[in-house]
Formats: sequence, structure tokens, C-alpha cells
Amino acid sequence: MVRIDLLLSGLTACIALISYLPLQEYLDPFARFFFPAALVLAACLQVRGRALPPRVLTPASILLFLYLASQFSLSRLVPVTADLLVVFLGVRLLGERIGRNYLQAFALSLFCLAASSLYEISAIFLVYLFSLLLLVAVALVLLTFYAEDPVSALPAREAKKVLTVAALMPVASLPLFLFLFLFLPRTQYPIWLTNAPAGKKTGLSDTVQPGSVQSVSEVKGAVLRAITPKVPEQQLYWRAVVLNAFKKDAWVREPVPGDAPAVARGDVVLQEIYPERTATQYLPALNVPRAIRELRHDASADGVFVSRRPLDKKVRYLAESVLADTILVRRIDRDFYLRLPEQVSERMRGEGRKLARSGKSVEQKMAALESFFRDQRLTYANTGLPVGGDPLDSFLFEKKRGNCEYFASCYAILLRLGGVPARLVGGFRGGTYNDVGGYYLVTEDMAHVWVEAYLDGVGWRTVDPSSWALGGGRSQQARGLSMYLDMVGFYWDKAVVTYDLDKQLSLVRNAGNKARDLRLPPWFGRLMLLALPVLAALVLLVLWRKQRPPTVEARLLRRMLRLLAKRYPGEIKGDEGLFELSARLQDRHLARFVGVYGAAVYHDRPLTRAEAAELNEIVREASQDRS
Amino acid sequence: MQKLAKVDEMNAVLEELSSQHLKGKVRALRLSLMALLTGGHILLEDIPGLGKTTMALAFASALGLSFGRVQCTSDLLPSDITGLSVFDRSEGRFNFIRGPIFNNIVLIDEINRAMPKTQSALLEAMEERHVTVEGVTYQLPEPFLVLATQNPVEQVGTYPLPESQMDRFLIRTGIGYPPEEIEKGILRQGSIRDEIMHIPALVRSDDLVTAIASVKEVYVGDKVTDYTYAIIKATRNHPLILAGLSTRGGIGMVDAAKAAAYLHGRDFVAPEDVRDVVHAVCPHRLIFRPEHEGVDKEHVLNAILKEIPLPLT
Repeated sequence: MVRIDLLLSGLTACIALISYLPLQEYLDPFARFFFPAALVLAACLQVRGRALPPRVLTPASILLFLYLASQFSLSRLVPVTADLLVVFLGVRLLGERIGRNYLQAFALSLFCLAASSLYEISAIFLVYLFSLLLLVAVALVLLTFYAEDPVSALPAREAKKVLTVAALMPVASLPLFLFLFLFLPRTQYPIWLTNAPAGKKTGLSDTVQPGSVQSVSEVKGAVLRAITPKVPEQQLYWRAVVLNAFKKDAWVREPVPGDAPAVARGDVVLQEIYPERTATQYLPALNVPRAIRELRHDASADGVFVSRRPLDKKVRYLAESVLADTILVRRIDRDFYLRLPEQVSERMRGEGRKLARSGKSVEQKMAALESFFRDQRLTYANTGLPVGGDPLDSFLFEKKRGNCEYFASCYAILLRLGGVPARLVGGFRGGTYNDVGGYYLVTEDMAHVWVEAYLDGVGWRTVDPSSWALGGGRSQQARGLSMYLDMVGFYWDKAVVTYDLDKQLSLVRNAGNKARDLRLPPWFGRLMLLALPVLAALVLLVLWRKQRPPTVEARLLRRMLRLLAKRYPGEIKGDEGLFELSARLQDRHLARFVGVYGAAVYHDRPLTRAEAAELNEIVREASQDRS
Repeated sequence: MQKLAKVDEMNAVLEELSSQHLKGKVRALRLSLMALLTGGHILLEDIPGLGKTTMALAFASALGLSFGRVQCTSDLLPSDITGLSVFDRSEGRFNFIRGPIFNNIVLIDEINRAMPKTQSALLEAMEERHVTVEGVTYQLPEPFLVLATQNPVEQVGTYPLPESQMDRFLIRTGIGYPPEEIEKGILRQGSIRDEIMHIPALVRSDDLVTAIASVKEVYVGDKVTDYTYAIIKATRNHPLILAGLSTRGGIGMVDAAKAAAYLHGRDFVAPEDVRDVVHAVCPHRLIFRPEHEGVDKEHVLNAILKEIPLPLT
């Protein structure tokens, strides 16, 4: 035997918990701890078979409401509401176990889950939503049993049947779900933005100032995912921003002076990129991006693309890149690219002068610098970075350890000192290839800075000074569970979150076009006109036959009982004999009906034609009798 | 539907008795009449003073039947019930003096006080409907109904009927306290024993015989038989029950259901007739497993009945 009340309480606890979990991290500490405490207390009360009476709960609710509402302000609209919802849900669990309270608990749970979607839209929401819908449907069915008899118990077999049917209901609604998904309006970003973009520290920034921090923490957050074929590891550079000028000692970006449009030759790679929300508006793409599509943006001649709107919601864009190490540019503003920071140490100036005086070609100068870097035996590191008065000098000649910013800054400054125009390129190096999903996952710890040096009359040559460090070289391949988890999240974003009004419209437009272009043979329409009603009629007939009781008697009885159920709502329980029912209801039609009907059925003989006609007549009269 | 013989008269008796003289005893009266109509016997199990004797008396006089009464004690002998031969000196031979059992309605008060020997003599007479004394068989009158009473509370010096003998009674029922209003009325009025002695007979004896004959004619269909059998089978397979309904129990159910249908004015048995008599006919025939003896038999029967749907089509 399965006790309905226990099952129902358990389900309600699960439902409440499911709706609390996604909201939990955004709650006030009070609400966060109140709910689990209430849940545990409710479980204890359930075990003892007791509940808190309304005369305790109602004042408690009012006090809690006043306490929470006192923190209310326009800017805290959603957090306070979420706290209230969760606290009330907790209070509801403690109350008497009656149908109304259960229904309120279900409603509050749904609201809590809805509230969580104001904060975060991720694939896990779908899991919560589906489990909640499933459990609520089952619980509602159980509630009908519970309302009928609070201490009822079902045999295990029956309970299984009830649960199966109840669970099938939400499953059956799935197609409708998908259908509505295509048409209902949606949001692409959580409506209640809890400083989400600012909260995520991006590894990419539009200033580079080595020596400002002693260590760089490795944040593993995703930056973007790009669907693209696999690219050779050494060409896996994601270009986002070009830093070309100095503000004091920091590399910054200034508007690009009259560069001729860049041309690059090489293999063209198309990428479909889904960036995470960030505070910057640069659109990274594989080096060297040639064009960006399907997102409004501004392009500059140095291969930097900036989105016109903030990337505070999930978007996607297509990027077209050329895998080349040289960007062909005829003519540049040499003076602009030779400017120097305010402070350059004597030792660096000396190296630069040595380079400038060597009178070699640009390529030779670059080679000379490379060997200089290698001779310095520099180490790549993210901690214990040189800081202080002149961090770059300290990096090159003393500490000899630093991250990409030190390598790139030093190299670019030395090039400029040596008379070679140079600039920094910020972006990402590497990427984790997801073999199953066929996309690269780029995380924030892959943020990288490298250098482009100008070869006269040729163009910008990509150089990555960090690669001259001792050891070095990063390569990763996604493995195991994390790969699948990341993929689920990615496809959720791809299929659901970025599915927006444009796509909805284009779907409708496409469908319209397809329908217009559809060519069918001329007889097809007429045939369909004939066939469809016939088919529909056949289906209806089969359904009707299946549902229809097999005998005249059973059909007549069913009609009569349905009529009675309508006339005396809630009176027909189905466990009574006909004569018994007739005696109880004192219905004259029913009395006549059972007289004729019982005489035949309990005499083990079929209804005669006259009797059937009489019964029909009785049913008809009963249906017309409005008294 | 053809009219059942004498059904109105029977219902009139019930109506008259329960509304005029024996308020609040409709159920017991009805069951007694059913027992009489099917030729069975009834065991009233209740504490003394709830009007068992009054009911039996009123019942007998309203039906115009002769009434005999046996008050059981531990020294009651079988011959005290059946009667015995006494030597008549003037005629020079033995004359058989008939005992109280030679009446249409015999009230056996506190049957559990009689010793087993007397009990079994009585039960035998109930079953056989004749008495054999000193080699001569005497037929008992028709109709014949034994109304036995038993006090379930008092246990000292009694010989409670074993289950196997309870099976001989078609119906076992209690009387219960009358509803508050009716009881207050009775208190105001005082005992009505004298008044009952003068209830005029509402029917004649041969009316009853006709009625009994037409109860026998009531039709029992396959559906009802199946339903009855389902109940019997369920009691036999029930985990708490050691011995379920016997075949005699099943026959009793059908007989009682026939009488119920007859009193409802039907010449066929409906499944609800069977279900309604289950509580009167079955509980005393069920033997529970020793470890479950305390279980309420009515509850178990209710659970069984709930499981079996009434055949409606």
C-alpha cells in the first residue's frame, strides 16, 4: 500500500526544493537559511503527524512580510520579491496539510522558478522546469485523491498506474511546448541583470600596462564558443583588439590614422561565434578577421570589429577570417606607430639604439631581437610578476619572468626604438576543441597579447614573443564529462537563448515562401479535399468504436449515468447498485429506467426492442426535464 | 413486471410494526422477516433490555403466528424444548406433550446459557424442521422461525455457540440502542409489553406461506451469481481469514438476497440486494486467523466489497 498523504508531502517538498535551488544563490542570507530550516521542520512535523496552526503561521507570515518588505526599494524590486516568495513557500510547507495549502505551495514554487529566470538563463533551467512540471502534474493528480480522503492509501499496483498516467500528462504536452516555443516572445538576457557583465572579469582589456599587478589570477570562465573546423594549433589566435598608442606607460587604443584597408591572403575560415556576455564590445574572431556578419558592428582597418550595442545579452555572429601571419598594408602612418611611452629605461634605450644603428633590414632586426629575447632566458609566468618603478626593465634584465603583456610590450617598444613600427594585438590564444560539438571553447585564462611589426611595403607581420619563453606552449583538448556539460550549455544558448524575434520572423517568412513555391499536381488539392474528411471521419469512427460500450444495454446505461452525473453533480460515485441509486436520488426517470433495465439485465435476457425504445424514451425525457 | 404475491401485505406489516410499535427497530424487523420468508433463523446478539423479546412478541402477533419462548439455563434439557411423553392414567397410555418449539415463532432467550447438548438438539430441530421423540417424528409447523438471542458481554457460566453452529443461523444481527428521540418517547411511555399482546394480526398464516413460496420464485441471474461467488472467493483468499464462506453461507446469501429483492417488490435479485445482506449473513461465518482475531469483521468485509464492482450491465 502506498500512503497518498506521505507521497504528496514528499512530492511537495521536492517541488519546493527544486524551485528553491536555482534561486538560492541570489537570495538574502535570511531567506537562504529560512527555507531549508522550514523544510526540515516541515519534515519533522510530518513525521509526528502535526502541523503549525494558522493562528501561529498567519502572524508569523505578517511579521516576515513586514521584515522583508522593509528592505524594499525600487532598485531591489526583484531581490525582495524573490526573498518573499521563498519565505512564503517555506511558511506554506509548515502549514496544515490541506488541499488549498498544497495548491499555494505549488503556485509559489512555480513563481520561485520563474523568479530565478530573471537572474540567469542557462540550460539547467530547462532541467528544473521539466522536473517541476512533471512533479506538479503528478502532485495535482495525487491531490485529487487526497482531497477525497486524506488518509487513503493505494495498492502499489494502482499507485503505479496513477503515477504513470499523471506523469504522462506533461510528457504529452511536450509537442505543444515546442510549438509555442517557436512563436512566443522571449528575452535573450536575464531581465534582472545582477551586474552580470561587470561581475565577470574578462581576461581581455583595452589597456595593457605591465607591472600594475603582481599576479594574474586564472579565471576559467568561458569567453566564446566558435563553431569552426579544427585549425592548426599554431594559428589559433583570436583577434579582438589592437593597441597602438600610449597613455603614459600604458598601451591603449586610439583611432587608427589613415591606414589603407587591410588585405590578407591565405585559407579562409568561417566561424559561427557565440560570445558570452562581456563588458567590452570587441568581437573576437580568428586572426585575421576579414568580415563579420549578422551583427551590427563597426569595422576598423586594423582588423578590429566593435559591436554597436553592448554585449550584455547572448548574441551570435558569423566571422570570416584568413589564416595568415601577414596583413598586407601598403602605407601606414609611420610616426604614429613609432611613438614611445613616457618612461623607457636606459638599458632598453640602449638595446633599441643598438638595433637602430645596426642598419639591417626590418626582418633582420626582428631576428636580432628574437635572439636577444632568447638569450635573456625569460620565463613565462602569471605570478611573481615584476612591479615597481620600471617593471619592463626589471622583466628584461633582472627578474626575467613575466606574462604575455611583458613579452609583447617589451618587444613592441624595442621594435619602435629600433625604428620598426609595431603595435600590440589583444585577444585569445588557443582554445579547447570539443570534438563532439565541433566547436572551440575559449576561456578567459586564454587571454593573450602579441605583436604585429610592420614590414615596409609588405604589411603587418604577426609575432608572438611569448613563444620565445623557456618551455611554454599551451594546448588543450576537452575530455570526458566536462566536454558534454559544456556542450549542453552551448546548444541551449544556441538553440533557445539566441533564438529571437528575427529568427521567429524569418521562420514565418520562410514558411510563407516555401508554401508559395510549393508545386503540386493539380489533382492533388481536390484529392486532399476528399481524402482529408474521409480520413478524419475514419479516425473519429475508430475512436468512437473503441470507446463505445459494446452492448445496447451498456450504452443506454452510460447515457443515463452521464445524464445523472450532470444533474446531480458529485452524487454519482459509481460504487452503488442501480436500485440503490434510484432509491437514494428519488429521481422518477431513474426509477422508471432501472425498473425496465434491471428486469431485463438481471433476468439474464437482452433488452427487447420495445424495452430498448422505452429506455431511449426515458433517457430523452430525462435529458429534457429541467425541473 | 408481474406482481409478486403478498408483497404489499408483508411491507405493510413491516411499516405498521416499525412505525407504531417498534420504533427504531426497522433493520432487525426487516431481517427477521427476511429470515422468516426464506425459512432461515436469526440470531440476535445484543445486551439484554433492548427489546429483543418485545420485538419477537410483536412480530408474532402482527403476523398472526403462534409464539413460544424458551428461557435458557444451564440445566435446561432438550426435552424442555421439544416436549416429552407423559403417562395419562385415565387413558392408560403415554401422551406427547408438545414443547415450546411447536410454535411458528420460537424465541430462544440467551441461547449461550444452555449446555451444548441442549443447544445441539435445538439446532438439529431448526435444521430438520421436525422433532423425533421416542421414535415418533413430529413435524414442526409452517412457517417456522427461531429467534435466538445471545448476550455477547456476559461470559461466566455460558457456552458460546461455536462458529460451526453459528453457521446454522441465516442471519446474525444486533439491535442497537434506539435513536435518542425514539428512546425518549419510550421512556415517557413506559413498557409496551401489554399493548403488544393485543396487536391485531395483519396477515393470515397462509398469506405468509404464499409469500414464502413466491420468495422461492425470485429469479437469480448469472450476474448476481457471479457477484456472489466473487464475494465468497474473496473471503476464501483473504490473507486475514482462515476459513471463508461455506457453500451454505453462499446459499444463505442468495436466499437472504431473494427475500430482500422480494420486499423491494422485485421478482429478480439485483447485485445490491446481495451486497446489502452480506453484513447480516456473512460475518458470523468467517473464521479469522488466530493472530487476527481482534480485527473487526465488518471492516474486512467492507474492504472486500469495495474491491468487487457491482455488475451493472
